Amino acid sequence: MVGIIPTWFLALQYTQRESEGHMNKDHPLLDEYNLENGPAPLYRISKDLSDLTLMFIISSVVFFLAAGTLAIIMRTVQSKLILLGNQQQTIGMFYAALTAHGQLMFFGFASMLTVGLSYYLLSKFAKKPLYSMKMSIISYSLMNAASVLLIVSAIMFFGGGWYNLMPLAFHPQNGGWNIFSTVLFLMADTSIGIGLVFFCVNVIATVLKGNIAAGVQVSEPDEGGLFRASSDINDSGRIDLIPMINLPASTRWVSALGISSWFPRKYRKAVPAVSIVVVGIFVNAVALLSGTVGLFTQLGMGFGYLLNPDFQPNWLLAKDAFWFFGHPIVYFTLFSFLAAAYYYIPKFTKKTVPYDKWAYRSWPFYFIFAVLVFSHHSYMDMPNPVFVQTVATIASQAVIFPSGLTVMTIMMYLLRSKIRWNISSFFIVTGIAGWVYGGFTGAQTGWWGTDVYLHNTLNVVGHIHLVILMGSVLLGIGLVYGVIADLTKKRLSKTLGMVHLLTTITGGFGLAFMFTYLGLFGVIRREAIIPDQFMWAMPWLLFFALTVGFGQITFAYNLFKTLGRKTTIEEQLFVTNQEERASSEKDLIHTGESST
Amino acid sequence: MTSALVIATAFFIYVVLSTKSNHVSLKGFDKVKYELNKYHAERYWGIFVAALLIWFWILGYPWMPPVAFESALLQSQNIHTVGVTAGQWYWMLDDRGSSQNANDTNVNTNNNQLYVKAGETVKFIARSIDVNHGFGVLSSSNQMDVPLFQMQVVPGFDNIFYYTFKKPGIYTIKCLEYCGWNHPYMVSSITIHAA
Ligand code: HEM
Ligand SMILES: [Cu+2]
Repeated sequence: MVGIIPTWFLALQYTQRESEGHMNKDHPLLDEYNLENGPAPLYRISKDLSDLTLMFIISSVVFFLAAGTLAIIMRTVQSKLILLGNQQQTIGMFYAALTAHGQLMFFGFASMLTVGLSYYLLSKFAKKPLYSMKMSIISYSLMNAASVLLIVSAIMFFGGGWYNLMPLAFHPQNGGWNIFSTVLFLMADTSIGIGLVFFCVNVIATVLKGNIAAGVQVSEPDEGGLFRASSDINDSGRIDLIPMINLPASTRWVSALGISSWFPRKYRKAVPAVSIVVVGIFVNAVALLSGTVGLFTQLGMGFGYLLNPDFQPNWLLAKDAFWFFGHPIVYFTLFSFLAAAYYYIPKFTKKTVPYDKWAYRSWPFYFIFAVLVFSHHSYMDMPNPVFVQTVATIASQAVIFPSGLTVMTIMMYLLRSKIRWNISSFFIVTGIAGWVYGGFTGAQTGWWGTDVYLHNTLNVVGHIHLVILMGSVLLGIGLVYGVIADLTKKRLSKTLGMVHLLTTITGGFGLAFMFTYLGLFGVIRREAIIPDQFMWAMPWLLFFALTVGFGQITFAYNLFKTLGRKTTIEEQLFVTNQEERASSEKDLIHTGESST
Repeated sequence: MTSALVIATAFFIYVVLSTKSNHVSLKGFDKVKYELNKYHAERYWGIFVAALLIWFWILGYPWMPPVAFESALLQSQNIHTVGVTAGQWYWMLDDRGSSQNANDTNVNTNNNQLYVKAGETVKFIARSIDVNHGFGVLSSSNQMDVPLFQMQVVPGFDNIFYYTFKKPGIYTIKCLEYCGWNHPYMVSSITIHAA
C-alpha cells in the first residue's frame, strides 16, 4: 500500500507539468518533444533489427496477457469461485496454472522482453550492428516455440511446478497429468535454454569483436578532445559523437565488465570505457551464459531419469543446478533494465552528477553475486554443504552493496532535478521504487536464519512480485513506451498510458504488499485451498489482480492500435525536423562503422 | 520491516518533492560537481552500506542453522531422535529413543509410539520415498497455524533438523513444498507432552 502513495503523487505532478512543455532550440536532442518520444541515441539501428525488436515486444505482450490470465485463474480457484467437475480437477487446474504462470512470466514475457530490448539497446549504445542477425532470429523463434509448448502443457494440466523441482514432474500419481505433457514441458525448457545461449553468445561477440563506441571513463576530468563513454551534460546524450574504438585485446573484458572503473586513476585513464548500458548488458549475458550450464545439467538429469527410471540422479544437485540458472535469469531482466535506466533517467531529469564512476563500479559486484546467490533458494535443504549455504547467505546480503550504490546514483539524478514526467519516466521511476521495496523484503528472507520461518510462505511470493512485477517489469514497460516511439516514429496514446500506469501501480503494489504481509502472518504459498481464516483476503487479491489485468489489456490495445495507425502530421513534422537537424550536423554524426 | 518501508517511502516522497524546487542550473554544473565531490559522498555512502552489511552478518551468525544446531547440542545432554517418512501424500513419524550421543540414531527403530516432551532437544531425521516434500511444523497462534520451523525433505538424503519444543501441545505438521495435486492435504500432527 505504501508504494501507491508516491506514485499517485507523481501522477498529480504530471498533470501540473503538462502545460509547461516548450521546445528548446539550443538542445535539439533534449527538447521536450524528443523526450516524449523516448530520448533514444541517434545511431540508427538496421531495419531488420528494428523489426525484430518490435516482434519481441509484441510476443512478450501476448504472453504477458496469457500468463496474466493464468494468474486470474489461480485467484478464482483460491477464492472458491470456480469448480470443475470435481475438487481434484479444480486443484489440478490451480497447479497447472501456477506452473505455467511462473514459466510463461519468466520466459515468454520477462526474458522475451529483456532479450528484445537488449538487442536494441546494445546496437544503439555500442553503435554497431549485432554480431549475427541470424542468431537473434533463432533466439526469437526458439523462445516463442517454447512459450507455445508451455501453454500446451498447461492445457494438458501439467503441474510439475514452474521451478521444476524434480522428480515431481515424473511422479504425477493418482491420475494427475500425463507424462507426455512432462516431455513437452522439458522440451520447452530445453528450447528456452538454447535460445538464451544464442542470445548470450551474440551479445558477447558483438561487444568483443571489432570496433565499439568507447571513450574516456565518464567521471574523469575532461582533458580535451576525448569523448566520454556515456551521456554527460557536455555532450547532451550525444552517443552518436562517441568515437568507434578497437579496444585492445587485453582490456576488452575489463572494460566490458566494468572492472576497469576500480583501477587507480592512472591506469583507469589508459583503458577506454564502453557505455554503461553496454556494460550492464554484457555482464548479464556472461552471467546468464554460465547459468544455462545449470539448466542443461538439470534437464539432462530429468531426461536421463525419464528414459531409464533405474538411473537415480542426485536430486539435490538437480535442484541447485536449476537455481544456478534460475537466479541469474531473475537478475537478467532486472539488471539489464537498470543499466538502461542509467541512461534514460538523466535524460529525463536533464541532470548529470559525477556519480557515474560508482555506477560503473557496481557492475563487477552484480556479476559476482548474480552467480553466487543461487543456493539461497535451497536454504532449507539441510544436506547441502554448509559452505555453499554460507556463501549464498553472504552473497545474497552483499547484493545490497551494489544495489545501494545504484539507488544512490539514481536518486542523485532525481534529487532537485526538473524531471520531465511522462508515461515512460513514470514507469521507470516507479520501477526503481518497486525494486527498492522488493529489496527490503529480500534482505529479510535472504537470511538462512529467517528463511526457516518465511520459506514457502506468501512472503516470498510478495518479494518475487515486488522485485519483478513492480521492479523490472515496470522498468521494461517504461522503456517500451520510449522505444516504440523510436522504432515506429509513432507515440503510444498518453491517456491510455495513464490508465495503464495507474491500474498497474494500484493493483501491482496492492497485490505484492498483500502477499508480503499475509506471508509474514504465516500463510503458506502454493496452496490451492487457503485456510478459512484468510478467506477475507481473497476478494482483495482478486480485485488487485483484475486491476493489473485491466491495465495490461489497455496497454495491449494501445500498442496494437498505435502500430496499426498512420503517423500523425505532428509526428511526421517531428521526424522531418529531426532529420534536417541531423543532416545539418552531418559531420558530427556517425551512423555506421567508423574509426577514430 | 514495516518501518524500513515507511522510511523508504518518506525518502521517495522527499526526492519527488524536491523535483519541484528550483533545480540546480545546468550552467552551474561544474560547481555542483565540485561541491558533491568535495564531500566524497559516494565513498562514504559505500562505506556506510558495507559496514551495515557486516554488522548484520555478525548479528545473524548465531541464527544460521548449523551454528544454532551446534549450540542446541551443547546445551542438552539428551538427544531425542524422531524418524520422519514422507510420501505422496502422508507423513509417518517414529520414535527412535533418546541418547547421549547425537550420532547414535538406532537406539530403537520399532516404530514406537511417539513420546516427545517439551524441553527435549529433538533430532528429526526425514526421508522421502518419492519426490521433494517440505517438513513444516506449525504452531497455532491467533487461531492460525504459522511455521515454527521447516526443512526440505530431499529424496535420497537424510534430512536433519534439531529443535527444542518449549511448550507442550499439539503441533500441526504440514507439507510446505508443492508435491503434487493433493499437496494441500498432506497434513499430520505431533503431540508434545509436558516435561
Ligand atoms: C500480471 C500480474 C500478476 C499477477 C496477478 C500474478 C499473480 C500470481 C499469483 C496469484 C500467484 C500464486 C501465488 C500462490 O498462491 O502461491 C503467482 C505466483 C507466481 N508469480 Fe505471479 N502474478 C503476476 C505477475 C508476475 C510476473 C510479472 C512474474 C515474473 C516474471 C510472476 C512470477 C510468479 C512466480 C514465479 C510465481 C510462483 C510462485 C510460487 O511458485 O509459489 N508473476 N502470481
Ligand atoms: Cu508433500
